[in-house]
Amino acid sequence: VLTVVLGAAAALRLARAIPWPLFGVGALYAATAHGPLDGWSLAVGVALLLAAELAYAAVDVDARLRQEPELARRSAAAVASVVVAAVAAGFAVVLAAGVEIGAGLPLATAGAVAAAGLLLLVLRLATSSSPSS
Amino acid sequence: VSRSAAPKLAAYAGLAAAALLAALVLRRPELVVLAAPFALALAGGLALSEPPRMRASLSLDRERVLERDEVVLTLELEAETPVARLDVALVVPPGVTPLEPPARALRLGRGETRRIDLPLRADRWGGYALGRVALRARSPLGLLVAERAVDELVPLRVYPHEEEVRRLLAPRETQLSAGNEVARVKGDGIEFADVRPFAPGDRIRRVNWRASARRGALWVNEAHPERNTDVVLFLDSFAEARREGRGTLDLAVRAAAALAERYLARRDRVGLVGFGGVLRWLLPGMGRTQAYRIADALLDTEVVFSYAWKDVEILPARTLPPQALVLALSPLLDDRAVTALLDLRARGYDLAVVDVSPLPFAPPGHGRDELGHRLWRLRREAVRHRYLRAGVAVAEWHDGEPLQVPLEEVRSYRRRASR
Repeated sequence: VLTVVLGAAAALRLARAIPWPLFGVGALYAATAHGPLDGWSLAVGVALLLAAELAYAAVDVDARLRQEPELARRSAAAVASVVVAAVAAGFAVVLAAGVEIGAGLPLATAGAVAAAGLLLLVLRLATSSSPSS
Repeated sequence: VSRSAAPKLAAYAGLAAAALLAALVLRRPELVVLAAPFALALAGGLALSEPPRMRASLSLDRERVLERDEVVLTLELEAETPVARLDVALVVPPGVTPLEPPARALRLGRGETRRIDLPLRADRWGGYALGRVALRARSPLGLLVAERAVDELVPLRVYPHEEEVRRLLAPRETQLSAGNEVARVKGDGIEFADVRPFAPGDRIRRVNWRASARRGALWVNEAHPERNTDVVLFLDSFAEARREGRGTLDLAVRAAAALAERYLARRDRVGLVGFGGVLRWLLPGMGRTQAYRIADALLDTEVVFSYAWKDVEILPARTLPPQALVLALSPLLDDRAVTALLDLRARGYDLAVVDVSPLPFAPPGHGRDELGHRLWRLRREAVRHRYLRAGVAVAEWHDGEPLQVPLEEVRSYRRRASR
């Protein structure tokens, strides 16, 4: 169902509807994950990013625009680069998550501050529309 | 330039934040792995983006064209910063048709200059201001969008395509200056008129020796002089009938342009009266300059809605010289124009009316609409009969017919009326 929703959002060029099926897939994955660190999380994360990039690329396709062939090649190369970088970053996170360090209040505080900072960044970017010359 | 976040940016940041928060709450490191690709794309995309700086200029290969001619609008873009994707949309006004898609998507490198040529076809006469361009630059990975509108307007003047006219309508009276119209009076000229007995002062070269030998006395030839005429083109712009991009005003303007060109080529003096919501006039004149003046005045002709009553009293006296032929081009839709023309006739002007028929632009409907259409046609017939009763030649001109057809109809009526 979530794949159909994502496909429909891309086909109907509804950019604002694209994150919701991705969010749903992430939530389903979180609900089913149990036990020790799941090695497939890297594949799921990269697949979600690839699906999002392809969906946004589909939204950008406009039949009224005459697009340079080079532009499509460069867009594909940019998506490929991001996916490769995401694989590397995810792998680094998996490795870091496997390292045994003593959990405690400082680590939890650092995590909470990072998450809150990211949330503030989201709010800032979502409301920003700055004029510049 | 207005710069804003694309929906993608908010989506990636939201997904990454939600996954990180969930990882903290649920204490599952897999969710951090899910967030990592989105956080990385976000960080990379924002780090690579810089405010786009570019210059845009517009030019046209020609500023003056005829209807149905093609012109090339050139947009030159120069980027000071790299632009991963630039969407360019040229806004083309109605009356001008782009022959290629007016929107492009391209990439610009740092310091790169790009030229976009857009061929356009001028479909309708008039003055246009081209050059509204919308630019939308996207950062790498499409996280930020900068939009800018270029309003560097380039003027384009589209002159009406002229109707073909083989023979012009001759005025009843000519003026005193030399021209191409054979006057009805007798005098010095080359068009033979009559013979008469010799009188003191007649030149020897005028003697008709054959007639003199036959009659036993000197007889001389008389001739009609070639004179010019004054023609005033009366363009009714109170109302028009319009359908599918064509209308009576278009036909009238094309006809006026053709008639002005042809009369001026015969060294006649031509004036123009635009009688409508906005009153315009050009005093009669001759020569190339007058042709340009008339062409420019015709381009500015448009139907301006107005309730104000107007009659010929408001026209300056010099606009309508005595003995001028007033050639009206009117769809006879507005009572003000109909009355003004009858008023001109009552004042003794030599008047001819080409009725630019609105019927092709107003097809009959069904039921009551059809009945209304018939009544309207009958009313138009009644208006034409009013003109005929007043001694004014009036001919209906339909879209698709050569202009020569109504002109010949008017000419034959005037010939019959003068007998």
